[in-house]
Amino acid sequence: MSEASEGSGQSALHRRRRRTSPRVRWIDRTAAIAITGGGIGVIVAVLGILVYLVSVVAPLFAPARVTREAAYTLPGEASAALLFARIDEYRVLGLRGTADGEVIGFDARTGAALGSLRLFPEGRTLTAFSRRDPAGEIALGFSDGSVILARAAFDTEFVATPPAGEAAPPPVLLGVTQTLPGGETRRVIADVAWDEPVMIGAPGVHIARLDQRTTDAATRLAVLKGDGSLLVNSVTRRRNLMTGKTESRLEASVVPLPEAILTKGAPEILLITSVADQLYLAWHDGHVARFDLRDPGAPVLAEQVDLTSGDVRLLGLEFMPGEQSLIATDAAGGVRVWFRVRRDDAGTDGFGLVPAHILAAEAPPVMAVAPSLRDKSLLTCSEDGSVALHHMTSEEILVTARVEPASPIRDCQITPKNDGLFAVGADGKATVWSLQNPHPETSLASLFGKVWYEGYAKESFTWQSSSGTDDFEPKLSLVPLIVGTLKATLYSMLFAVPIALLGAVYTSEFLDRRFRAPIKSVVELMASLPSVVLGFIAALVLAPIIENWVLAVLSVFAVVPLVALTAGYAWQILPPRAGRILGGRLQFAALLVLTAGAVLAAPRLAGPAERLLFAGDFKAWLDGRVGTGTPGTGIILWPIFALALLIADRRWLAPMLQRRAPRSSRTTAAVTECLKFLALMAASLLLAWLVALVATTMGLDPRSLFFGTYVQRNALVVGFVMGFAVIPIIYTIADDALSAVPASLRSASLGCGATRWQTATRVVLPLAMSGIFSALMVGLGRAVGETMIVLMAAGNTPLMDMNIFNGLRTLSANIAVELPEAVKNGSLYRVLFLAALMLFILTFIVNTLAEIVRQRFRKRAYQL
Amino acid sequence: MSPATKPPVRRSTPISGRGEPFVWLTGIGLSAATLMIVSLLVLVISNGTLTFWPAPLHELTLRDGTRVLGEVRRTESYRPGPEELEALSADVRRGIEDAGGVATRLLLRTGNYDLYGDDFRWVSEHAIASRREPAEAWLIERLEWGPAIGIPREIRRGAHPIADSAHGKLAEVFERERSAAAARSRRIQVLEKHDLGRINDRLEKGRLAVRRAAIQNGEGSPEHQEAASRADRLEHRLGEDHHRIQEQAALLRAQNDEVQVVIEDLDGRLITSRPGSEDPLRVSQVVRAYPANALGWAARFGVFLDRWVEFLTSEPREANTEGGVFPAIFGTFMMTVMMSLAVAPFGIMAALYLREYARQGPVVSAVRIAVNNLAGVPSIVYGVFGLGFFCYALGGTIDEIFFPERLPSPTFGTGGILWASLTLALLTVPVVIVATEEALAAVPRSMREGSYACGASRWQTIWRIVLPRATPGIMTGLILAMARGAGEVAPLMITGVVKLAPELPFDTQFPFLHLERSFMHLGFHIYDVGFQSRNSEAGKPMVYTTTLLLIGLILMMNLAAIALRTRLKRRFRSDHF
Repeated sequence: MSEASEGSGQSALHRRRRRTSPRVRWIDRTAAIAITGGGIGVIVAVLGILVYLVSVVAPLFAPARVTREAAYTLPGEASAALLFARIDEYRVLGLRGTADGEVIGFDARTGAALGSLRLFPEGRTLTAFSRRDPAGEIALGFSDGSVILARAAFDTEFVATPPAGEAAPPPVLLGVTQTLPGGETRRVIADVAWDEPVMIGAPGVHIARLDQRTTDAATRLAVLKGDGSLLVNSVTRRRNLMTGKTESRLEASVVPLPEAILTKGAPEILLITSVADQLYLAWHDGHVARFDLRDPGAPVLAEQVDLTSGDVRLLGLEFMPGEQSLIATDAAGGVRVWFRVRRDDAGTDGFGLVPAHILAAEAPPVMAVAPSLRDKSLLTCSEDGSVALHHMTSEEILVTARVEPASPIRDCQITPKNDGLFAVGADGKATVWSLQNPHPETSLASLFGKVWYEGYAKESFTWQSSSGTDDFEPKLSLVPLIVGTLKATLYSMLFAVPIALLGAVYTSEFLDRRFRAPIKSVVELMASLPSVVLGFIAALVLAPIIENWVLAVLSVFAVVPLVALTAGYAWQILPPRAGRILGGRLQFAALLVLTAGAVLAAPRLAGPAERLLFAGDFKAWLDGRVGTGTPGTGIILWPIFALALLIADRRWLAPMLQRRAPRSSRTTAAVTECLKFLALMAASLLLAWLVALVATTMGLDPRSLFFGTYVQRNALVVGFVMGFAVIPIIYTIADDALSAVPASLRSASLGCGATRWQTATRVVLPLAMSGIFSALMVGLGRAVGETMIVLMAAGNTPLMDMNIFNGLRTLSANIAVELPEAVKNGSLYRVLFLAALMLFILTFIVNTLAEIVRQRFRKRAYQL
Repeated sequence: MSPATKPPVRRSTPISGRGEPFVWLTGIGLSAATLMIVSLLVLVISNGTLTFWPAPLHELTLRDGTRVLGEVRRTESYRPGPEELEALSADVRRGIEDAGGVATRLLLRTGNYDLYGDDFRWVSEHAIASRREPAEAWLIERLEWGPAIGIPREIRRGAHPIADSAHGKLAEVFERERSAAAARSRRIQVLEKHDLGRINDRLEKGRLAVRRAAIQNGEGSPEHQEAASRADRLEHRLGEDHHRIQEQAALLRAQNDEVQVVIEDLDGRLITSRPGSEDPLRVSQVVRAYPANALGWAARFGVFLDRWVEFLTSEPREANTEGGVFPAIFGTFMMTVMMSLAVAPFGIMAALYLREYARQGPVVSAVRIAVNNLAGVPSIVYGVFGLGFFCYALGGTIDEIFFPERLPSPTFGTGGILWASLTLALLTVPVVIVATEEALAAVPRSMREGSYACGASRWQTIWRIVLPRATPGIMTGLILAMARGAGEVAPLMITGVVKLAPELPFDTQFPFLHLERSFMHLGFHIYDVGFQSRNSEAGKPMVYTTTLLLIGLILMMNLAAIALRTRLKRRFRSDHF
């Protein structure tokens, strides 16, 4: 850097300028910026997966929001008794019906009157009224015993906007026209129509109560007349294609009321289902009588139940869409939901009403109830001017609002697209709110707790995300999936861990050095198999074989270890020179042959075992049809007792024998060992059998827990094949951990006179424990996240039991099956993202734990 | 013996100390794992390679007099149920009982699905009275309805027979007509797919231009009207070409329809060109035909090779249970290449940053652990992220900005090869980062320090000293990542793989690389044919061969990685997945 020597003449040596060229410096800086930026970007992107998943899941738990849009006084006389007030799905047009027969249309944004129609001429006295959403069908009952069927609903039509300059289409009476962006005009029109009056029952007797439901097939009308007669009518409308006229046909049937009911007086509420199979009569004291009308010629009083206790007055009874649940409101402010479920001790038809949900329990009393048309939400409006939006399944109150000024609310509505609320008070003031409530059915309780779903006899954990009808209640509980994941992981680890750990111990301690490299390559091969291939083999090749030969397969698991141990003991009896032939290279080959032989010979035991233990038919035993639970419990207990006895032998029996006879010859000792082993195995078997007998007499049966009905694609197949996927992972990491124990320690131990086995178990294994633990954790992480094998081989049934012969559905397989068909940003979509998030966090935690343990272990191993 | 000279106590290890049986037990663990993998590979390889070998056709006469003709697919032992045992004669029943209640049955592929309603049939061994291998039985692979198994009687052109079985030239004439018909069919395909396709493409572009003008400038604006009139003129001009090509294709089709082959099954029923019709099978509907019992070894090998070539180079038919897997091979290959192109620069950049540029400390260690753990996150989580972020969010935005005229039909806003490759790249980036980091760490510090001492800048050191030495390790990591990515199916199921893709993502029409198209994948093909086809028994051979192909591909990649790795000298080996 001596640039002073330049310029003043050149020395003979020509000193070079020692400075980095600007180009190099520039490249260096650019590279640094690019690599830093790129590197940080990649890391952020990879970690950003978590952020993105959380952002998709968060709206599931966000509360609903309402904003008041408009409040105005409804046109028409405030004093007229309000029958109904409804607005359309776009919240622009409203209809108000009063008891004098007038239907007034108004602009729902401002309250301006648009016109009015009459459903029936003045002079008739209305005595009963019923209106049903979404079709807006109305039934009016009069004092002379006649009934008018009418309709007050909304219709929407889209017309192309005429280009500028042409005349706009003429305005429509009782309609609202809007121009939409994109060049279309939308007209919402009131669809009000009415039929001629029809006499029902005896003329002159007024109609006390009525209810109607309309389906595509017919309109069902239930009428209770003032003289106590109850008639169920079916009105079918047929359009004669020739004449263009609509013909209606009325078929009536009488429901005879038993004495006990007639003496109670007139019921306040009458409800009929849309297929006319159930009819409910309710009185203000809470008494409800349910009639079974499935046989139209022979109606039966199926059940009588009290919906309220004590003196509490029943105010209202309403169906939820789907007609499976009844909402009962009482004067104490309670809102309860009753389900009609299958019960042996209740109604004559095998069903009974049971109280399932309590949505509200205290004052103020609820004046009206409006169910949502799209999901299981429910709007209740109270005497003090408050409205509350509940959700039936999760029992949550999603949002509340008040009318200003407070006045008792006469009628309320959730607009059809679930995006608005409408309430009309006793003072004639109407309020419109807009509602954002995208995920009403999910909450922490409904995702992870027991929920009582419609049609179920009690609370349960269920996953059933969709069905054919619109009234379906989505059952999104993650618990069956979590249990399925745990079950698959448990059975696969149960199978994989012994094989992998034993193999790792053998490879690092006893295997001939020359075989290490090929064996490692073979195991890496196992690791690189795509899980699709494993799943295919499991489902199409193994599952049918195992289904036909279950016991043969299970016997392999029992026979192979026993054969290995017995062969080992027998081997010891041979003189050392013979034994040395099979040390070294030949040992592994001999082991391969032994294993193959044991696997092929084990199925021969299956037949006798089946006859002896399972009364000749294993599948029937699994179903619980034959035999007791003793063989099952015995089979589970036997390995535990065998292990316990072997350990006890090691600690107490062997030293005792050693002390007694320290100088016996090699052969004698080997024979003693062999016989001792066989005796221990027999003893453990006997012990297991005895304990199993005791357990059976105590009433424990493994068939309700670990064994059960056999299904072709089950956890046994999945566990076995996931072993293929998990064994190489555990094996490699455990092998690394065992090999990393310094050779000096091994040599020291061998030098002290220990055998290879003693070195392995007492020196190497304890030191490698943390490495082995980390291997298990990584294997566990892999087993939890495995998708394709489970998807193909596990039957995909979200069950919640630990039966090994039964199917399961895991979180990952569930995502793969359901996500392609989930509506973007719907509840199911977000719940599936929640499942993915749970998997992500779980495997992340498990792997981090394993990594920390492994790094600490490495540090310690280096220190040795 | 005096007490002073007691014989010395022999200090020998008790025999239980050797733990020999338990050593054997651990050995069983390893041999079980080895046997598992070896038997799986043997199963796949044997089933996969032998699938295409032409099997002989057996004609079985059953005890009740019926005859069945077909290929024996497999044999299995089973336990006959009580109803079946009752229907048997006493001596047969005794024979089964002697064997422990176990009998054998054959799965026979009878073909002719359109005639019998099923292409497989179980025949119990004990129900067979006699069997033979008729020389005149042929196996005819068809375009639809699976194979036909029967006896060809004659070949006709129009109404005249041009060969029949009595005069011995049937096989030659059949083969000649079949290849002629196949050539015509190929020509029809080129005309329709290529020429007509190009015309339709231009017409579609014209229509989209009209829509785009309407969206951008408004309905009825001068630009819109001009675009509309241009589209009309284009339609007019191309309409004639369209017509001409269609006529050509119709002519070729008519020629194909003329040549027919009369094939009857065992009972003399005619195998027709369509279920419910009376016409015999057309030669153009035949893909391959051979007399299964009259072939010599060379001829069999010829059929075997021909089937393999078809498998590797042609499109699938019969809902993926027959034909070839070329689109799946192409899709897998293209996706793997795109994934590697995406993963290599980013993975190496991130690893360079972590190892060379970032200040080492607890933060960087935490980041390293986090990145390492991401390799263990289930692949389905990446698929979920890919669907939500890439397909819907990014893809939807791209659609709105660049392709508004095609909405509401999504272009990039749904699964496609681009998003699938990016998702898999995200999946495998941790593997590449870890492998690259290890390779960079293995370059000794002395080299770096020497380079700095010579006056090199950091980038020069990295570029000229460190990276070249780390390249084998980086390559290993890349190959391992590619092998892992090629085998993952779960994330692909969600982000763009389909059962049958009408077009390849890369073809001869501008812009040549169509990144928004869905594609086929070998792994998904296995899942689809095995589980979503009409008859999984019919599809099983195809699944075995596809499995063989996929395993072969992945094995080759892994062997390359292992070979690379054994060339390195390393002190510490740690494997990451």
